[in-house]
Amino acid sequence: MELGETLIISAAAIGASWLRMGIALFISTIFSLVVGILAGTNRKAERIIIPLLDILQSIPILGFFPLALYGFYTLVPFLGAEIAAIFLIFTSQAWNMTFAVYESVRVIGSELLESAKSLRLKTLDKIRYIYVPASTPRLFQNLQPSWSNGIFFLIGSEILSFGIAEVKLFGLGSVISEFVENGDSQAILMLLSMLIITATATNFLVFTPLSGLTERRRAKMPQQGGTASPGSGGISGRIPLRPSMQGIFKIPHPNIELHKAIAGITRRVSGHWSLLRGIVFFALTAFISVAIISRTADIGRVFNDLTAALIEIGPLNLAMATLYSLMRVAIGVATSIAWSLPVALLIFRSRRASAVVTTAFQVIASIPFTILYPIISSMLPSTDELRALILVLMATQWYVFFQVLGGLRNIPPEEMEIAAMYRLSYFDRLRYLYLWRVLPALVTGCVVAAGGAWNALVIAERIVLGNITEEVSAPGLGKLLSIVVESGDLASTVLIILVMSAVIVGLNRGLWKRLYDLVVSKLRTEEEREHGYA
Amino acid sequence: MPETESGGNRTREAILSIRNIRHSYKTRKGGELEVIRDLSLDVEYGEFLGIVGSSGSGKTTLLKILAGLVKPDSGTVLYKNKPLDGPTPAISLVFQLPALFPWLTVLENVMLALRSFDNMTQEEKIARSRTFLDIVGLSGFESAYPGELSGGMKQRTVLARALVTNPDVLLMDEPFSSVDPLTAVSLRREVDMMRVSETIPPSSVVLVSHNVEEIVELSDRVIVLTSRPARIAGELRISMERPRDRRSADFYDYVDKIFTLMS
Repeated sequence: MELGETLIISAAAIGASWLRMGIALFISTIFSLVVGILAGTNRKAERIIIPLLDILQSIPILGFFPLALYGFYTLVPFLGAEIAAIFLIFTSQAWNMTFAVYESVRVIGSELLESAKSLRLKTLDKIRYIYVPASTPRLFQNLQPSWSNGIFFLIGSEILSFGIAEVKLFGLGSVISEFVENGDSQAILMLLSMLIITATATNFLVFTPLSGLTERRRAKMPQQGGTASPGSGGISGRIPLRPSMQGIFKIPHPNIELHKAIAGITRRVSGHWSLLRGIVFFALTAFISVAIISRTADIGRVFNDLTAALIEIGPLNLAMATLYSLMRVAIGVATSIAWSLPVALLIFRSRRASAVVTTAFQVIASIPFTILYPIISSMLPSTDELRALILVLMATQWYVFFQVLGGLRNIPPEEMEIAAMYRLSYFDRLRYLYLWRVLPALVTGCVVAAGGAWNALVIAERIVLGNITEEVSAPGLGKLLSIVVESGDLASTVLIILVMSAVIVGLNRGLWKRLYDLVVSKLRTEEEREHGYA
Repeated sequence: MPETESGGNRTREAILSIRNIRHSYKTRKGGELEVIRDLSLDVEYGEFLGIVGSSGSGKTTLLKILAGLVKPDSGTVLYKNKPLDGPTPAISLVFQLPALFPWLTVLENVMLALRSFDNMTQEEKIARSRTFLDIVGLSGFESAYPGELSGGMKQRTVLARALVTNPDVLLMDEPFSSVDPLTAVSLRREVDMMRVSETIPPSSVVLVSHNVEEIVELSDRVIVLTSRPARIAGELRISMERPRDRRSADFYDYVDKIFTLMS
């Protein structure tokens, strides 16, 4: 292919994909504001929306496949493919943003709301002057992570195939798979470098200024001392890891703010009841979607289809696949911790080092690694599990690292000064201060990372790029899902999504939430009020 | 009658002194915010020095410079006539908010201050920590966690931790402002009593506050700071019997003098 032609095609592909992502992000923003404010202000809406969000965020993006295809593609043949792709990107961006808005609205001080009442502000004015401005700092901070997440699943969204229904949209995914099929390494390289430049530029020209917009509202008096003042001053230090609104709303401790969006959802929903509710909800949704898509009102038939799928796949197969996937997630999270903790400990004392490393990682994190997969697999031909792990890591490790670094940088300056005053050795600091302070952030990071890992598994265990198919040889839920989606087996797809989501929700409730509560109860200095939640 | 110090007419030995300190912070917009300008002062052996200034006058920064926690942009800090090159257990700082490690018990929090004391055995450290918890009236609470204590008790724990290292200088940053007024009264009284006792360190105490009555009640000498950037607006020696009666005419006289210097 001509160099100029490659250049034009690459630029056009990036443009098309970026446009899709931009539209999806715009819709996500509107969605998050509407749903987040509704959940934050209305008790009844909150009871429905928050558990729903928790479940939705745990469904892997491929889980929305049948819905996207049948809901949009089949019903609106003309623009349906585009709408389906945008919808899928939306599902990878919207949930954390919605939760950020919800939590921002929840922590608005009651004085403020009472003054609004005494000023007799109308609902619309309240939204305009209170709820939206209160949400923007964290909403803007969540835009960048959402964008990165969207990029990761971009390719899966642009090349859809569900049985005979197949959609291949012009964009990054289709173009790069074409290059790979042609073995045109020069073109691949060019597209990749253009992509990296565009992704980096988008970060610095769009998202950094955006999250900087609300910077002044978050600004505090200069920190005393400067040993450990939170918030690195660098170009990027402000992205996902700083306490956002301490100036405006009383937040008892910076760490409280660190409960990031997705982990926060888990925190809000309690115990066994929600687990039960989740399962009931899953089963119901599974039934309804099967019924709608196969256009039948016969519940018995739907049930038969699902049991038939279960028998066909085999419960033992399903269990083994779950086990293998669980292990991959565990290894992914453990590896993330293993390098994140030492690196974060090494750099967090220096504002500049934190800013530099954060910026570098943000650039790396903004590269859609799914696209590199064909290249990785050509470099590591016989190690399928390592390849899968690399892909899982690409989707998980950043959450852990940014959370851990944020947790360390948010150690109250007084505690650092006490450690200095009493000349604690490094080991003592580690033992009495750093590890304790980093724990909540670490757990939060793990929750988000594990969620990301499950999502990534669907791609990591088996990826289809055009005519290239790469998969792990051992079983896995993601692999299974990818296979049945490709073959268009609706009942099996729904069944596997059911199992996968149940595992994710079960882990969130049974493991992460408990761990989190345990850690937070240890770190509590006062009887903290759940901001206005009591 | 109180007399305003003209300065320089007598020499007392300084345990801790700063010379020509200048310090500023970088603002987010890249500008500089000067908080202290050309400040020199001495903390004398055995005195209770009160430093008073309006909010945001750089008092806390000054205290952290005295503690060796903040390195000033220029100027020197001398501890016993030698340059102070960093924080030391010999100069203890009590923060405005009781900064205790929530995951350690009261006893462990106090003992943390003795971690770097290699010549003490664990038993000695425990015994010494218990003694100081006893002095601040917290015996029986050794195994409680900070989360289970009231604000006043937390600040007492901090006091015990600050004293257990046997510091020469105790620096206090508005230590009574985070507790309720009634607790503050009894805490102030205890700090005042502590000064009388020969067996309890420290030699010198520096109290920073914007509460003028509090400063007059406790200090031997008061330094009044201007608002940002902080410089010395005036100095005052207070000679009144202890415990000082807040309702006496003399007391008001001193308070008025300080307010005059502040404005």
